[in-house]
Amino acid sequence: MNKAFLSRFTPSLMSPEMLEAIFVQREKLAQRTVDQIRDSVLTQTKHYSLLVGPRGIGKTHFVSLIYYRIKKLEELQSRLVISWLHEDGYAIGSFLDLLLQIFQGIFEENKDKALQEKVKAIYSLSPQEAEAVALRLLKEYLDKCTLLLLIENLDEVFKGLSEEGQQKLRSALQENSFCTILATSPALFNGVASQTLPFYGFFRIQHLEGLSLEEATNLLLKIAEAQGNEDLSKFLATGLGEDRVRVVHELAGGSHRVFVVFSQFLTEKTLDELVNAVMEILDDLTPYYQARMSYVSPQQRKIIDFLASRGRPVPVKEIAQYCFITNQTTSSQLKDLQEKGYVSSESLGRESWYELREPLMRHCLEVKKNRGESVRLLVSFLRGWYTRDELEGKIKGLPENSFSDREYLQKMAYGWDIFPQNPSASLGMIAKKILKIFEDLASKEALLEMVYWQSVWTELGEKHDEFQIPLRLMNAAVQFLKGNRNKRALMELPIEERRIVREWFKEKPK
Amino acid sequence: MKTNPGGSLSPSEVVGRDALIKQLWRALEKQSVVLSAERRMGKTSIIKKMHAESAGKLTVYQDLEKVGTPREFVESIVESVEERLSTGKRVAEGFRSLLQNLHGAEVSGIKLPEVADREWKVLLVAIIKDLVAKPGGTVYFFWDELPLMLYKIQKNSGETVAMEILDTLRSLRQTYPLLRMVYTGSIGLHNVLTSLKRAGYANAPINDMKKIDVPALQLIDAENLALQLIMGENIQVADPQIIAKTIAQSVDGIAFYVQHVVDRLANWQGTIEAKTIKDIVSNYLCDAQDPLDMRYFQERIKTYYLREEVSLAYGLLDILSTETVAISFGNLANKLASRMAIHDLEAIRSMVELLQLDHYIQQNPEGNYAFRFPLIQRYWKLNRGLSH
Repeated sequence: MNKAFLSRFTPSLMSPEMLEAIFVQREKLAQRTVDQIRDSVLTQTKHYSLLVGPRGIGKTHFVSLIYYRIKKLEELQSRLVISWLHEDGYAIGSFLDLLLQIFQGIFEENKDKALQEKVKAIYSLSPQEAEAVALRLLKEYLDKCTLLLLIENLDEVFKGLSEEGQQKLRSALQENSFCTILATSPALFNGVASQTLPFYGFFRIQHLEGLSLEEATNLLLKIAEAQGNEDLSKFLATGLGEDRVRVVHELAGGSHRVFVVFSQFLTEKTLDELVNAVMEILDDLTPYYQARMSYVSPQQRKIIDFLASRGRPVPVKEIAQYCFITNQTTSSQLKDLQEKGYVSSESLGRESWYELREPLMRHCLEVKKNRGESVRLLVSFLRGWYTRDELEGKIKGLPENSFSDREYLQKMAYGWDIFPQNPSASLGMIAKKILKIFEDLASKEALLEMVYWQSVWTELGEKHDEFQIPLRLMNAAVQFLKGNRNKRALMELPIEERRIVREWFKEKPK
Repeated sequence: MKTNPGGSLSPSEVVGRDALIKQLWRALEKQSVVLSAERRMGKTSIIKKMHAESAGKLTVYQDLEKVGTPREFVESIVESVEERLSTGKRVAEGFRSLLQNLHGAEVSGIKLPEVADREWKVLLVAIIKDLVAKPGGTVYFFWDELPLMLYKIQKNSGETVAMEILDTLRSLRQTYPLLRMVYTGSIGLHNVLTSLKRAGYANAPINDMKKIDVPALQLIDAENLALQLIMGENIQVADPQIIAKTIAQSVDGIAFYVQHVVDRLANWQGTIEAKTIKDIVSNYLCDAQDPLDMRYFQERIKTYYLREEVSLAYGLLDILSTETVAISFGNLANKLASRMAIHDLEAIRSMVELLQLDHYIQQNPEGNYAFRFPLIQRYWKLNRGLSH
C-alpha cells in the first residue's frame, strides 16, 4: 500500500497531486475561482472573494488547491505576483503591518534580494513614513502585474487592522486596482457585515457547505485510492460500506476534517466494525476540539461546556441560568457561536433552543466523563440502525422467517429468559427490529399500540445498556404523540437521535 | 464578461453609462460636479471609468476614506499629483519651497512635518496652484468618499476644520477657472452639510457645483448587462433574452443587483426560467445573510439621522412601503398622524425632503410620493413585518 502524505490539520503541507486527488464537492467553485483570478490578472477587472465556513470545512484545502492551479497557468506567470498570508502567525496591528506581511508572502514565493533590501530600509523610518513608502514600494514592484493576495482568517486580519487600517486598505485597492483577493474566514464578521465599515458589500461571499453523505463517501474513496488501499476502496463502493459511513456522517456533521481524520483509521475491517474506529477519531480529534475552544471567549466556553454536558437542545433561559449570565448576553453570545459554527438552533414556538452543532464535538468534550461508554453504545446502535440488510442479526435459537416481525418480537419478548448472553450487536439488531415496528406505528399514529410496546420493552430492556437509546427514542415518540405532536418531547433527544424520530413522523426542524 | 458583484470593474465592463458620462464631461466644461446616488448605483465605477478614459486630460482619482485630518488630505493630494505627473523631477516646486520655508528645512518625503497640521490651508492652495500652472489644460480631481472624509475630519478635528476645508475648496474653484472637482461618496454630502449647519455653518460651499444624480440603469441597458454576464459565465438557459429581461425588471435596473442575480445563476442547479429569477430575488429579500446589502437602507437612517428623526423617517417609509400607488403629501401626513403624535407639518415636510435626497423616495410629476425603487419598497415592507 502506498501511503501518500495526507495532512489532517494542515492541508497546505500536502502536495498538489494529493490536494487534487482528494478534492470533492467543490470543483465548479474551484473552476470559477480560477477563472476570476485569471480575469483579474489579464484585465483591469479585479475580483474579491471571501469563503466562509466553520473550521474543518475545507477552506485551506481549497485555497491551497487554487494556489497550485494558478501556478500552473503559464499565461499568467509573467503578470502575477502571489502573496499568501497563511492561517496562523499573524502579527498585524496596522495597515503597515499588513503591507510588511504581504512583502513577506512575496519573498516566500520569489527570493527577490533587491526587494528584500528595499523592505529592510523601511524599518529605519517612522511608522507614518514607513507606511507611505511601503505602499509606494509595493506599487512600484508590481508595476503592471497583479497581486494575488491569499488571506486566511480574514476576520483576524481585520481585527488587527481596526477601522482605520481597513479604510487605508480599501482606499489603496480602489485607487490602484493592483490586487485581487481570495480570503477565508470561519464566520461572517463585523468587518464585512456591518454597513458602516469600509468593506461592507465589497467581497463576493461564498458560504461553504458541509459534505453530504455521498460526498463524504466519495472523499473516503478518493483517499483510499490515493493511498493504494484497494480493499477499502472496494468496501466503500458497496451498500454496506456506505451504511457504515453514514454513521460517522450522522456524528460528524459533514466536516471535511473529521472524514480526513477518520480515513487514517480505516481498513475494510475497522470500517465494518466501526466502534473502535470512531473511538480513534474521538481520541485524535479531542485536542483539535479543545483547541477550537481557545478561539472563543471564556463566557462562550462556559456555554459550550454546558451544552456538551446537557447533550440535547436547551432554551436560552436555561443556558443563562446555569451559566449565571443574563438572558440578553446569552442570546448575543449564542448568536456569535452560531455564526462561528459551534452551535445550531431550533425554534420551538417563539423560543430558540440551542445545542452543539457537531455531535462529535460534544462527545469529544464529554468522553472522559463516562470512559466513552455512551459513545460506544451510540455507535453500536447507529451502526445497526443504518444497516440496510435486514437479513443481518438472526437471533440464535428461535425460528426465523415463519412469523411477521410483530409476532417474532412478541415471541422474543415472552421468551426473553431463553436468550443466551447476547453480544450487544444482536441486541442492537433486536432494538432495530423493535424500532422498525415503532416506525410503522408512528406513521399510522397508533398511540395505544406504541404505548403497549413501549411498556413491554421498557420492562425488559431498561436493565440493559444496549437498550438505552431505543427506549429513549420510543419514549420521545410516545410523548410526542401524547402531547398532540408537541415538539418539546423531541427536545429530550440529541440531534443524531432526533433525526431518527423525525423520520418516523416526517417532521422537519424549524 | 464575468460577474463581479462588489468588485472592481474594468472600464470596458461599465455598461449603460456612456450617456451619463457624456453629460458629466459636458457639465465639467463649465463647472464642478457633485455626483450623488444611492449606494450601489455605480458612482465609483463611473468616475473611475472617466479617469481611465480621460486621454489628453489631466485627471486625478482619489479615494479619500483613508483621510482623517487636513494634513492627510494635503499629503494624499501631493502624493497623487507627484505620482500622476512624475517625470523623475519634482513637480510641485512652489509647494516644496513653501514647505521648506514653513518647516525650516527641506522636506522630500511623502509625509509632511507637523507644521502642516497648522498650515494645511496654505499648503493645499500651494499644491493646487502648482498643478494648475502646468501646461495641459483643465485639471480634474475625482474625489471619491469626500463626504466620508469630511465626516471623519469633523469628528477628529471639529466642525470648524471641516467647514474650512469646504470653503477652501470652493475658493480654489473660484480662483482657478481651469480647476474642476467631482465630489462623490457612499454617504450623502447633504448629510455632512446638515450636521455642519447645525453647528452654525452658514456658507453654501457647493452652490457653484452642478448636482447630478446617478440613476439606475435604463432597463434596456440592465438587460444588456445581464445578457453579457449570462454569456460570459456560460450559463445554460433556453432563452437568454427573456431571462436577461426578467432579471433587469426584477431588480429595477440596479447593476449591482444584476451582478448578484447572475452570479447566483452561475451556481444554480437545475433549469432556469423566469420564475427562477423571481424566486431568487424574493429569497434574497429575506435572506438573513443579506447578500444584496439591503439592511443598509434601515441601518443608514439610524447611523446618520438624529435620534428624534429616526422614528419619523421609519414611520413615513413604513406607510409608503404598504402603498400600491404614489400618495400626496397630505395623505401621507394624515396617515402618519394616525400612527404617532406629530403635529409639526414642517418637520414632516423636511423629512420627506431628506428621504428624497437620500434616494429612498421620489415625487412624481403629479406631486405624489412613493418609494424610488419597488425592490427597496418590497424589502422594507418585508423586513419591517408589514406584509399581510
